[in-house]
Amino acid sequence: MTILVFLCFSGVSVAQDHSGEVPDQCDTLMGGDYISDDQDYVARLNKNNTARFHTVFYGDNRYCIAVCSNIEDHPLIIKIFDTERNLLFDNTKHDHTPYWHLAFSSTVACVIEVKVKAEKHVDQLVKLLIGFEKPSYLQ
Amino acid sequence: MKDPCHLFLSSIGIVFLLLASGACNRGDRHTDRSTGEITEKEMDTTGLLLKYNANLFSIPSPYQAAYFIKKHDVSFSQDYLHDPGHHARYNTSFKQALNMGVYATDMGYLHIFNKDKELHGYFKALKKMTGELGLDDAISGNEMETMRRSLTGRDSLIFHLSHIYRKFNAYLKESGRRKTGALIIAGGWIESNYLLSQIVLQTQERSLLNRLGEQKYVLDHLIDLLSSYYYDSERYTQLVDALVDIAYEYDGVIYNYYYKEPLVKEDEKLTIIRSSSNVVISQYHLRTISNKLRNLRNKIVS
Repeated sequence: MTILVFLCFSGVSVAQDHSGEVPDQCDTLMGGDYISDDQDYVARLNKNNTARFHTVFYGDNRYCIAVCSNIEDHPLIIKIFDTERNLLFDNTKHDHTPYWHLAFSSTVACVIEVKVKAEKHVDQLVKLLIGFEKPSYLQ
Repeated sequence: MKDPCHLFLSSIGIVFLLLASGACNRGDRHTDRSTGEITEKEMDTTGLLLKYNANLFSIPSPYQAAYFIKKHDVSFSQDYLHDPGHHARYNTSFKQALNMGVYATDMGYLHIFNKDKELHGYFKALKKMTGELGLDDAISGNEMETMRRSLTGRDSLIFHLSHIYRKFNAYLKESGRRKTGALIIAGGWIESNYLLSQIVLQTQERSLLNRLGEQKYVLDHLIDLLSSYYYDSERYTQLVDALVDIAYEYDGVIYNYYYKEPLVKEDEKLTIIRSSSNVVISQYHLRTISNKLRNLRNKIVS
């Protein structure tokens, strides 16, 4: 049994496990002109390797969204849909950029979908930051 | 006699289960940017498991409402704000957390309206409640001092407030106190929409009225955020029930949405969302929602 436990520990120590680590690179993507929400949105990818963030973007505002993770082998796919499932943004059309700006003239409720394309379940966390641009009329 | 292969495989399974439970509770090493300290934090895997369906609901920053009010040339009124001296009356973490959110929103409102002198009382209250809620370890002394200095600076206070509250939120999640974080967010939303509703009643400004009507979806998100704690205690039950009661009134608000294909500006990494929406909210629903927001807000600050 002792040998068995030793072998198991060896197995665990060799395979680096980032599954519990909260990614922390998002802040550098946000930019100084944006004020972030008072919380980080962190979710674990589900069995379909997808996480969804439901949000509301107010009209007459410009936002920056940034997504990060510790996933090394697969690029993050970021899509934004409205409540009618119209695709508003798809980062696969922009070289899988991890951040993007969105300008809204009207208030729109959206779903931000983050996924990876992998055959097996990627048991990792993804983090989303949402920031709104400080209004120009106050600068 | 049992099959030795079966015994061997069962043993492996048990060992891996034990190791997996240990791995889930393994501390997360985190380097604090402002101090360079490396701290060990326990991961709240219970919370992560509850979110395993990987749907999260965001609550927009309460400072967006303050900026929006300022944009419409509304006169400042201290009457709407909560007295910072009342923080001493809150002796439960439930009330303390809710009012942390209330005070943060009031500070944003004061700052945006250039009422720097009044900010100091709120900062003192915030600092006291940070200690009472056990959040001193969430931020460094430098960060609190930086925020204190920003009280009289132009425009930086909101950045520091949102930064510190993000750290509070992350710390609370990592230390297994998600519901305290949820209460802070709830307090911020209730206060910002109480302020908005009172100003709408006073001014009847169309854009502000629409913004109040648009809270329909955000309120649904807030209820989703808090619903996990509904049966935790009578106080949580009453809070969620009060929010649901307001949400029922929002069922009478009509929200129209019209999709239009977005415009992409690749060089600016920008998408212009051209879809439009409008809100139809009657005077009855305005008054009812405003009254219920006021009653709930007054209850949490009492």
